[in-house]
Amino acid sequence: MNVLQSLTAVDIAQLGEAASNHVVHGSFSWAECAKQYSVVFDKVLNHTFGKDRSNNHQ
Amino acid sequence: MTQESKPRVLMLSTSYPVSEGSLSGLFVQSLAGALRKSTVVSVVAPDDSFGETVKTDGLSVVKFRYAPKSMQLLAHSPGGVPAQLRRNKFYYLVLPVFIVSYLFSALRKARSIDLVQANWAFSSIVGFVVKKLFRIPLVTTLRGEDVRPTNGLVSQLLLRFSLWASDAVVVVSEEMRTILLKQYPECADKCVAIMNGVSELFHLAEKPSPIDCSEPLKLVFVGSLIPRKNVAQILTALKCVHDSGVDFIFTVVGDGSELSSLQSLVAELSLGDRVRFLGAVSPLEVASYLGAADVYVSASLHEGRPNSVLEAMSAGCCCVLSDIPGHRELVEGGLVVYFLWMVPCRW
Repeated sequence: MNVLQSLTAVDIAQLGEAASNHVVHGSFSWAECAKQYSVVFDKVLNHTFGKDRSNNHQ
Repeated sequence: MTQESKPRVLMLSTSYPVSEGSLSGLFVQSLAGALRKSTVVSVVAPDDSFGETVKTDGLSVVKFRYAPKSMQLLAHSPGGVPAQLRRNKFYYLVLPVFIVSYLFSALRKARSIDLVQANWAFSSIVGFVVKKLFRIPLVTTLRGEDVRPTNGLVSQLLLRFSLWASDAVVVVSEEMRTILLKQYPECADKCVAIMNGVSELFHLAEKPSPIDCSEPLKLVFVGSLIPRKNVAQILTALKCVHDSGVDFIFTVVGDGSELSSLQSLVAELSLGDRVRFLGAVSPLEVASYLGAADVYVSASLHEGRPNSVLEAMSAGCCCVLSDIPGHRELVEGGLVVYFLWMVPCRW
């Protein structure tokens, strides 16, 4: 049994209802994603280089 | 934050849109672009087989050559390097040159950076050498293919190496983190889940209107046409939908090794007037097709954090998805979704 195989007009109407009321779970912008990466970067840079956070010894 | 005070990040990726018109690794490019606000990003990625112009979008992008132009097919294809190696053993001959060239280009760019970020476990090999030589930290982002419980020995060893070599590991979903830590609990402190973003192209300005049942149902799939995406099962199911009298149009957006076999299957199922294959199209066109569709369908066998599903949701499509962890995580807490049950496919 497969939901696509049993699609009826009623199901399609329900799909339409679901689509018009949905919320996207956990979706966010690339800017928010980059912010979270920056936190990770700061953490490893602090751990590697200390307070200075940059690779100035090269 | 001034340019001088921003950390300098070297991003390594085997998929990246290095030429005009390329659709490879667009999400890596989106990440690089978003990181520009807080970092100075340089990118090293392999050259492709068709474009000449380096597509930079304001970023410093270096593309490395590893074969005659027309033979540079190891990266940038649907499924990336692992899929190409599985598809054609010839590419194993190209692999050593690929790695050496990748490493050489990364080392040239690494002279003035503070951190190296590798995309996919494969790139952490190069990232580790840069880390050791320049004494800088390595952050590796593991994506769907990397943390697959059914991966073979080579992929498992690569994953283990990547976890050991990296100062921090980013995975793209909580489910991936759970799977990873079940196998490697010692990595809990350095493993963090950061979801991919969704481009504003796909964000709806207003709520989608209900489906008009008097019109043919508009179904869409966006993704690589590779075995893992299991598109054949969708077609098989749609044959039954067709036979039960439901009118629909199914649009398949994407390219890959299975294209010709899927086209044959469509002919065999007599769905030629109901299914259309568009090939790979630009993100703007993808947004347009998603915006026009009623239902997004994915029968994937495995996913990390499928961007195309997030984009479909953002565009207002209702989703019919296979019941796998990568899909379940996306729909917890609100979205009503019909799950496509996994049944053996006859083809």
